[in-house]
Amino acid sequence: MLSLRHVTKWFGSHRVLDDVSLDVGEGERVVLLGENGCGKSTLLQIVAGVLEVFEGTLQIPHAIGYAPERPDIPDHLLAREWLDLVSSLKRAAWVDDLDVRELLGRKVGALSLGQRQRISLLAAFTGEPPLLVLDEPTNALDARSRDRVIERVRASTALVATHDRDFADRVATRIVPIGQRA
Amino acid sequence: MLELGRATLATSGRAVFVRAAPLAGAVGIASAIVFAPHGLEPRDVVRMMNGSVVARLAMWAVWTTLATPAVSPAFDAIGTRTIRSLRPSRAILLIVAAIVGFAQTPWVLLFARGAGAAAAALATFTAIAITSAFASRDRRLIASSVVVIALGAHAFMIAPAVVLAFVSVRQAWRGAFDEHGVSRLVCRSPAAIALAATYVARMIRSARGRFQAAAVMVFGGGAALALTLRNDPDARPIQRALVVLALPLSAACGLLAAPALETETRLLPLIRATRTRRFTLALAMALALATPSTAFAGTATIAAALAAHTSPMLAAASVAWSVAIASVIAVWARARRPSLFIAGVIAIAAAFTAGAATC
Repeated sequence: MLSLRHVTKWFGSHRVLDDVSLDVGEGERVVLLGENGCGKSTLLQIVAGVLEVFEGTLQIPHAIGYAPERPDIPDHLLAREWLDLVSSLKRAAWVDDLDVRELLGRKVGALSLGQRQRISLLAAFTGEPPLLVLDEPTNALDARSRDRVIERVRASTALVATHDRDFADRVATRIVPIGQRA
Repeated sequence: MLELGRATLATSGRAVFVRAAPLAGAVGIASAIVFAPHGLEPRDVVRMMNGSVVARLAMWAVWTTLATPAVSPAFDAIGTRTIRSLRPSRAILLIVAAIVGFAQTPWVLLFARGAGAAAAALATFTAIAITSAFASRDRRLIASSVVVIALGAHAFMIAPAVVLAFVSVRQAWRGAFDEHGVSRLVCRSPAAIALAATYVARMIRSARGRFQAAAVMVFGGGAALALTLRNDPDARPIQRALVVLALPLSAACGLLAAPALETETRLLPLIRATRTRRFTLALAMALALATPSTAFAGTATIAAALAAHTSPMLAAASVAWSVAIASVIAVWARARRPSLFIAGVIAIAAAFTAGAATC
């Protein structure tokens, strides 16, 4: 499903990732754990195609459901417009798995962080992608939404970065400490 | 108190100035064309407005459309939340009203030159009232302002206009941070159309200054076209339209490209994660620039054709012209280095002008 080989990433003179190799098989849910700044988000951005310049090789499925650590949804859009845009690019309808109906007519800029996170996660889930790539998915979520995300991730193949140890224990088939050789 | 006044000028005042100054500049350029030595006189325009309710409402609608985006930051600029929390007195509202009035300068000058000081004073308070009413989105205040305009410029209207101006400013100030309903622009559709709608939503909702400046440029071009067609009715109207509109359309597309590009950059994680093709992105950018520019060009050309007693079919040529210009600028905008963008837009405008002239 996903194969990373000897991936190294530099930001200027700072080496963020050093010769990282990682495989995620179908049905696996791999959780990356590590300290702040150890390169978890960078690794996920490489997998999602956000960072295109790196050393090493990467094999991934064509479609990925990616939710970044900070939901980068333009503030001027309505929540419904964002989900419709994602649906248009993925050519698949979005499904309200996270109970966002009451948020749809509001501008994203007016939503709380947790509400934005729900919209961002719903966009990642759209189109039932073969691989979910989620960066700190439980950030700012209430307990009910968190449980739904856990349920959704457990039904998928996923690569997740988190500090939430309880979340990691509940969803992971494998936990990979990062910052050391993976 | 003095400090609060300074703070209001530094927040609301500065934010309004940043938007009102380009508007005044653009209106000034258009006015220089319309009120050229052989063109119209301000008193002709004011007389036309005084003589017809429809003309009056139409002219006020154009000004309100242009001025409201410049006025809105007076009520919700960064820093005004803090000023609100200090429970300011009514004096602050007077300062805000003065700031809103400052943004109406070009419109007030038209009345001052065309009908004198009393008409200018009435226009000032009416313009403060209607632009603040639109900023507040209060339908009763908007309707009241429209009634004041429809009733005409009579001396006895000054009192209701003053009252309405201060009520509207107060309402806009109080409700500035309420959430308002927004019309939906992006729907599920082919990828290029959905992306283009997202860019246009950004232009309309968060880059109104650029949007209005683009509108003023194209409508200024339309006014110039009307004058040249009236002065020289034997000229080939289609060729004349293409020559006159090439520069304003290029400038308008250049202005609108920046918010569209910023939005594309913001969407990069999604675009890359969904493996969206470059052709789709280029098509979306062209559609996004062509949508407002064709709307402006079509409207301006129809108005020019009617004013010059020429066939309104002229609009079809100007719409096709604006699509061509928008497409070329979209390609240039996506391939550009920032330092070369403006030079490229000027070169594109020159090429289209020369191309039309040699047709």
